Amino acid sequence: MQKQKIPWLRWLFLLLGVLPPLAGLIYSFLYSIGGTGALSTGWTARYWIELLEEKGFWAALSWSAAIAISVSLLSSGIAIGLVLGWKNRLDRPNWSAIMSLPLFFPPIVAAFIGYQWLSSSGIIARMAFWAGWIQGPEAFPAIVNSPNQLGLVLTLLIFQVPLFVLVSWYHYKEARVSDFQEQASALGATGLQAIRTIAVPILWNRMKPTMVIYGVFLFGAYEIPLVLGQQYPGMLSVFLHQKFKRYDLFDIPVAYAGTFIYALIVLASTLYFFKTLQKEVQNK
Amino acid sequence: MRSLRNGVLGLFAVVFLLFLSYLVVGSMATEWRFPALFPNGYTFHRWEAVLNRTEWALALFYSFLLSAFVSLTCTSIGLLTASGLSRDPLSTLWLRLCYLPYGLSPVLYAYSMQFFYHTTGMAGTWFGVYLAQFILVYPFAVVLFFNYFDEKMHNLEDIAASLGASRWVRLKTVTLPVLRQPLQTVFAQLFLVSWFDYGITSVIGTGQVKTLTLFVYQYIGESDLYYSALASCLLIAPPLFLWLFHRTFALKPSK
Repeated sequence: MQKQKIPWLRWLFLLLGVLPPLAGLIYSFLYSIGGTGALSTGWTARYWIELLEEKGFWAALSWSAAIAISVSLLSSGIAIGLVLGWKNRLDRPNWSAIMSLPLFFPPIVAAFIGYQWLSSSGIIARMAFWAGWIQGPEAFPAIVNSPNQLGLVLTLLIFQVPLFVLVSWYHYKEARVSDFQEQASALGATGLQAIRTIAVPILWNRMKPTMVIYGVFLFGAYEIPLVLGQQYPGMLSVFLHQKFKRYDLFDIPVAYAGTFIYALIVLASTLYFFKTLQKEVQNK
Repeated sequence: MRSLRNGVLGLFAVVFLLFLSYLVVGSMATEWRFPALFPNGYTFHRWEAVLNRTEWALALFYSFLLSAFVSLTCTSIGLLTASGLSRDPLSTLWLRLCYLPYGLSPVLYAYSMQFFYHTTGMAGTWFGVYLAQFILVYPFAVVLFFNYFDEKMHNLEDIAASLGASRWVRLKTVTLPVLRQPLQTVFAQLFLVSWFDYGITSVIGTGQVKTLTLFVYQYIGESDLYYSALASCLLIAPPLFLWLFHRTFALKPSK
């Protein structure tokens, strides 16, 4: 391959792709240590201390991480299970079309639907009412905006799983998993053994990059947690957004400090995971 | 066991079709409260009102224009960038740098860049939102195209070059035709990212740039089920119909 440099493209990329987030990162940091902003009176560490001492921030951070990790892992697990169960059916174009329907639901609409279906006066509650299981909305378990975050997780799963099915179906064909399964059976493995020791590990490894990308997206998810999540402390994006919008202007530098930490976590985790995943791919 | 699996697959189909019909029915319901499973009656007056009100028509039109423009510029500039950077000796570094904005939450990204838009007076304008969305979406384009510029593609281009084709001729007669399918996919994906965006538009647009997603959120905030459902329909319908159209006509083999 002919290596060549096209300098102006490189500058264009740096200008459009790298400079803006970097500038945002630096600006957030400067704002958080009193270097800039309307109320800045000089360098100070008090906003950072305030943030790090706030329980809500740590709660938001851990909620975000917990939900991002669990939803990614669960979606992937469910999707692999479904793909291994349905392999032949997914070949039909109409089924794969149905699986791509969630792509057409923007997060804000997904949040709206999740709310309208899962809240205590929602569609599911009405079905339960007509089935005679509950006497009124107050008898329906609170899963929307509640500390158990069930409504949030369920909505994320419903809209995530079909897309994960498509991705793992692609890997299923690409890695010729069915051929391997057949070979294993020819060598005497039972169907379940072939699935457990061959199909699942192959698909799981191949799904890792997708899990990481979606995990990072979910870590910063905003619209769905805003509508469906626990009100306080909520997930990280929601928590920081509330801080930016609060009437107390001294909350803004604190929010910038949080944004800076968030960005660093995202950056570190993407770089780390891509490095290890790349190595894994190269070793094979 | 088999029937259970088919059941789960069927369940997904039913659930998503129910979601779609829920939005349509909700937008036409006269009254729909607990414990009614179906609305009391149906009315078209909201749809009529919306289609007659210039505010909505303009929102629809401008949202579409914004997303089409974001996607068009990002696809073309992203393609050029990926094609150039993939030949660069430092290509892995460039690709890594793309992930910097790739994973960021749009709303927090928007807050961290807010200042630049306020000082330049671009906050609250359509151009400001365009620029902010462009900056968000552009790395997506580069990442998506990067994979297609592998050794095979470079060899193809090199053959054309050795036969005397200039850069632009190569692009026109080799690269673009080979990438016809991915180009469409990337364009559609970027269009959707922009069309569905709420975080960037709400922060950089400061509420003055009214795209459809903002309408949906506004009505959800007012807990107006009927208008939220209607705005959701308007948000989902254009990409869905384009996709159905594409599936039915464009994907059919030509012979």
